Amino acid sequence: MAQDLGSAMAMLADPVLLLVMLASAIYGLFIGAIPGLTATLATALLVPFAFFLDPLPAIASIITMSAVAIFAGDLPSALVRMPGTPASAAYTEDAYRLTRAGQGARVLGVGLVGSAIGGIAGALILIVAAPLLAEVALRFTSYEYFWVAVLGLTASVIISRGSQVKGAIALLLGMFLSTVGIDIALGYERFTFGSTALLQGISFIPAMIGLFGLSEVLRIVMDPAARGARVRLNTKGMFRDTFRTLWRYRKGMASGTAIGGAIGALPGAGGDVAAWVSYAVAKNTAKEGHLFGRGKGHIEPIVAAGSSNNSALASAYVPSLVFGIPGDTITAILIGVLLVKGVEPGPALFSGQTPMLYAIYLTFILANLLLIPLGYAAIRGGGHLLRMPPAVLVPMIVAFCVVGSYAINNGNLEIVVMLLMGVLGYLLERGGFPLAPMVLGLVLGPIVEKNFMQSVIKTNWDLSQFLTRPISAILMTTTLLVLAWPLLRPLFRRRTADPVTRLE
Amino acid sequence: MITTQRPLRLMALALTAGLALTGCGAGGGQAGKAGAGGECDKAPNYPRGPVQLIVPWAAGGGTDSVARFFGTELSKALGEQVNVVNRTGGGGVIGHTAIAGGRPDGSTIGLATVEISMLHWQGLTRLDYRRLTPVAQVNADAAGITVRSDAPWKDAKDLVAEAKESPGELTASGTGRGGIWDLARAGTLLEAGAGADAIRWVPSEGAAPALQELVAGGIDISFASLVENRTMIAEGRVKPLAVMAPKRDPKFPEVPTLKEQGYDFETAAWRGIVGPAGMQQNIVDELSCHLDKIAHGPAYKSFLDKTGFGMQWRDAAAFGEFMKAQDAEKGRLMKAAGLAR
Amino acid sequence: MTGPAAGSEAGPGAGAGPGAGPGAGSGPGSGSRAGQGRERPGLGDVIGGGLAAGLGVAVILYARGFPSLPGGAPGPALFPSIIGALLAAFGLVLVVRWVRRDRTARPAVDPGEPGAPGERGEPGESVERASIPSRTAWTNAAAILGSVVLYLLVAGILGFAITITLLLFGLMWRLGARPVVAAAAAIGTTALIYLLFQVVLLVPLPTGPFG
Repeated sequence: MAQDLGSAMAMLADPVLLLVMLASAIYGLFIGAIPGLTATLATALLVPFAFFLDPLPAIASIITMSAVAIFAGDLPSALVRMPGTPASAAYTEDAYRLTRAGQGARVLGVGLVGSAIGGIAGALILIVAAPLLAEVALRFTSYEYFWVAVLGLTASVIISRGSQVKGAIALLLGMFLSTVGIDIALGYERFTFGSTALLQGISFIPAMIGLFGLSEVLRIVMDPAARGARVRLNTKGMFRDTFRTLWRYRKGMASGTAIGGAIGALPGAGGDVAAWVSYAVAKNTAKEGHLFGRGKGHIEPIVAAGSSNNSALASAYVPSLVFGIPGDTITAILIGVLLVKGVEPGPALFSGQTPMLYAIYLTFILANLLLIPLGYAAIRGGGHLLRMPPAVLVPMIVAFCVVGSYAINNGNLEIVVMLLMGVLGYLLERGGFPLAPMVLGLVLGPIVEKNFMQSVIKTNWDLSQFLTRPISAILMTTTLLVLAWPLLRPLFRRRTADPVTRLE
Repeated sequence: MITTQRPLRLMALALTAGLALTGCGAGGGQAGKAGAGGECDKAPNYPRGPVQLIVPWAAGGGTDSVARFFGTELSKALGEQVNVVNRTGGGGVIGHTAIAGGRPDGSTIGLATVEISMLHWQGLTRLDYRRLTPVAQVNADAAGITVRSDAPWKDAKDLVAEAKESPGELTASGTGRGGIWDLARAGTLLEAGAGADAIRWVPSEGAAPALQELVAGGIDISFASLVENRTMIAEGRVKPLAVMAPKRDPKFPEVPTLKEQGYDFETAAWRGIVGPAGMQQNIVDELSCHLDKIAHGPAYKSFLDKTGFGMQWRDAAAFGEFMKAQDAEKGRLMKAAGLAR
Repeated sequence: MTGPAAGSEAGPGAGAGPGAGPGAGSGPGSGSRAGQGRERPGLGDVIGGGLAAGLGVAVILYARGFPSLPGGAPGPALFPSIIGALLAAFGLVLVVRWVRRDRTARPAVDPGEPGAPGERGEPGESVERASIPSRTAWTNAAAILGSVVLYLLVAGILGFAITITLLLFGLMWRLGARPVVAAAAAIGTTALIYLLFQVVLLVPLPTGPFG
C-alpha cells in the first residue's frame, strides 16, 4: 500500500496535471459562480477536452472542476439569491438572508471551509468504505429507489416554510411538468400535443435556470426597492469566525457529511439531493430549526448542507469506480470519458491499477485543498459583483441564462423552457408559492414514477414488496419518521430552553 | 465600471490560457488537409467551414464516444474543425430529426443509431431512413443474454424452456419499452416459438440501470450487449448465456451464439455516419473514403479494444441497403411483438 | 447583527412558525415576500388555487386518452392522474380558504404584498415593502422577456455575437446604464461568452453573416 501511495504521489507530481487541475478549478469557480451555469453543464462541456488528455489529468480535471463549482454555487446564492448550482438551492434563502444581515463573509467562509472539509471527508469515505458502500448500494432495486425518492419528496414538505398547501401545489406542478415527454412504462408520448421538440420533456437544468435565475431577475426589475442597501462583504477575520462557527455546529457538519456520503454512494442521487436531505434533517434536529430560512436566516443549515453536497460529490465515485455505475450526472459523464481512456471502472481498477486509484483519491484531497485559496479569492472578488450596478448586472445574468440553457442541448427549446419557467416562477412567488418544491418535483417526480412502474411491472402489481424487502422497510420507516418527527419531537426534548437565547 | 470588470476578465484570461495549454493536443492535428487527404478529395470545395457532427445521445455515453473519436479523426483528414454536438431526448428522435433537418451540403452530418429504424414504427415520429443519406456504418454491438451467476440456467435453451413452462414469470430489461434490447427479447422468444410476452419486459433507462437491477435481484435477465455488461461479467457476478451475432464475439470467445443453440435470430445496436437526405454524391464519396481509412486504421482498433465496442464496416451503398433492410425487419418484428403502433 | 432587519422579522417568523401549523411562515423566497406569519388568504391564493384545480382536472381528463399496460393495468396515465387529482384537491383547499377568509383577517391585496402593515416593515427586507410595480417596472420586465424572445427569433439570422451585443446594449441602456458604459459592458460580456463557449468549450453558438 505504501508503495502504491508512493507511485500515486509520483503520478500527481506531474506539472501538466497540476496545471490542468488549476485551470479546471478556475473554470469551475467561474461556471459555478455564474447563475445559469451549473456543474453538470460544466462537466458536459469539459468532455471534448477530457478526450484529449491522459486518463489521470482527465479525471482530475472533472473532479477539481466539480468540487470547486459546487462551492462557487454558494456565491450567487448569498449575494443575489440565485443558486449557482442546484446543490446550493436548498440553503439559498438562508445564505441570502444572512448576507443581507451583514454576515455574508461568514456565510461564504462557512460554505467554503465546510465544502472543503466535507469534500475531504467524502474522499476519506471513498477510500475507506468504497467496496463496502458499493456493496450496499448494489442491493438497491426499484423498490428501494422508490422509497429514497419519496424520502426526498417528504424532505421538500419539511423544507417548505410557507403554507404547506402551496408547497404541495408547487411540488405537484413540478411533478406534472416532469411527466411531459416519453413515458417509461410504454414509451407513450404524454402531453406533447404532437410536438417533436416536447418529446424530450421539460429538462431540469433550463427549468431551474428559469425558476431561480430569470424569475429573480424579473423580481429585481419589478421591485427595484428589493435591491435595498448595498451589502458589504467584510472578509476581515473571516476564517477565525468561520472556524468558530464550524466548531460550534460540528455535530451538524458531521451529520451533513455522513448523510452526503451515504446519499452520494447511491447510484443516481448526487449532491443536490444530499443537500436537501441534510437541510431537512438539520431543520428537524436542530434546536433552532424553526428559525431556518426565515428572518435573518440561519447558519446551521449552511454548515450541514454545504458540507453535505461536497461529501456526496466524492462518495458518488464509489459506485462509479467500483462497478462502473454512475453515482450522479457528473460521474455518468466521467465514466464515459474513463472508458475511452482505457481505464475501466470496476473491480479491475481495485486490483490491477491500484496506483491509479490512489492517485484519484489524492486528486480529491488536493482539489479540496486547492478550493480554499481559490475560493477565498472568489469571495474577495464577489464583493465586486455586488458593486456592479443592476442595470449592467441584470442583462448580463439574462445573457448567461440564455446561453447556459442553450448549451445543455444546443437547442432553442431549452431557452423557451427557461423563459416560460422564469415567468411562471415570478408569478408563483408573487402568489406566495415556494419554488424549491417545484424543482424537487421536477427532479424526483420521474424517479418516483419510474421506480414505481418498474416495481409493479416486475411483480404484476404485488405491492407487498414495497413493504417487506428489508432495506425497503427501513427506508419506508425512515420516511414515516421524518414525516412524523415534528409531532414526536417534543417527546424527546430534554429541556425547553428558549431557543432565542441561543441566537447570536 | 472598469474596475468591476477586471476580475472577470482576468479570470477569463487565466481560464483561456489554462485550457488552451491543456487542449493543445486538440489543435495540433488540424494543421490543414493531411497528406492522405489527396486521394479522398473527391469534392474539392468541401468542406467550406466547420462541420457539425450531431449525436442523438448524451455526452459521455457510448454513442458519444464513438462520435468524438470519428469527429477528431475526420477533422484531421478534412483539415477542418469537426464539432460534436449532442442533441438528446425523445429516445433519439430529437437528434435524428436535427440531422435530417440540416443543410445537405455536408456541413451537418450525424451518427445515426439503430433507433432510426424503430422510432417511426412506435409512432413517435414520422422520420425514417429515407430522410437521411447513408455515408458509412462503423460499429455494431450484438444483443446478448446475461443472467445472474447463481441463476439455474446453463444456456439459452434452459432459459427459453423455463419461459415457455411458466410464461410471464421471468423478467428482463436493458432499455425502455420497445427499445432495441426489448426487441432482442421479443425476437428470441418468437423464434423459439414462445409468446412474445413469455418473458416480461421491465422498462429501464438503459443497460447500466438494468445491470444494477440484475445484480440486485430485481430482474432475471439482461438482453443488453455483452460489452455493456462486461464489468460485472469480469467480476463473475453475472454470466452471459448467448450472443445474438452471426459468429462469436472475439472478446467473449466462450459465449456461444444464439444460432449455435438452435435459435436462428440475431440483432445488434449499430451506429453509422449519415447526412441529411439529398447530399451530393461527391461529398458522400469523400466522407466515406476518409471514414474507410479511419475505420480500418490502428487508432480505431485501439479505440475498440479499449471501449469494447464491436467493429462493423459498411460503405455508403451497403449501409443504405442495410438501413432499408433493418427498417423492414424491425417493423415486422415490432408488429409481431405488439410494439408497433 | 448589522442589518436593520435583525430583530424585527424574527418576531413574527419565530412566533408564528411552530404554532401556526400548516400556515406557518410562507414559501422560500416568498417567505419574506409573503411574510405572512399567519395564513391570510389573498388574491394570489384564489387565482393560484383556481388555476391549480383547473389544471388538475384538465390533466386527469387528458390522461384518460392514454393507453394502459398489456393486461389492462394502469400505465402512462397513472401518475399524471394522481398528480392531477392532488392538484385539484389542494387547489380547491386554497379557494375554499379564500372564500371563508374575511371573518378574521383584513383582505390583503396579495399575499406577496404587504397586506398587513405593522407586522413587518423591515427596512432591510425591502421585499416586504413591495408595492404595486410602477409602469417603468412593467416596461423593464417586458423588455427583459422581449429580448429573450427576440434572441430566439433573430439569433439564427444575425448570429449570436451581433444579436446578443445589441440586446445587451439595449437592455442595459433601458435599465438606466449610461450609453458608453452599456456599450462597453455589452461588448465585453459578449466577448466573454463567445470566448468561453464558442472558442474554449466548442459550443456551436448560432452563426450569422459575420460569424
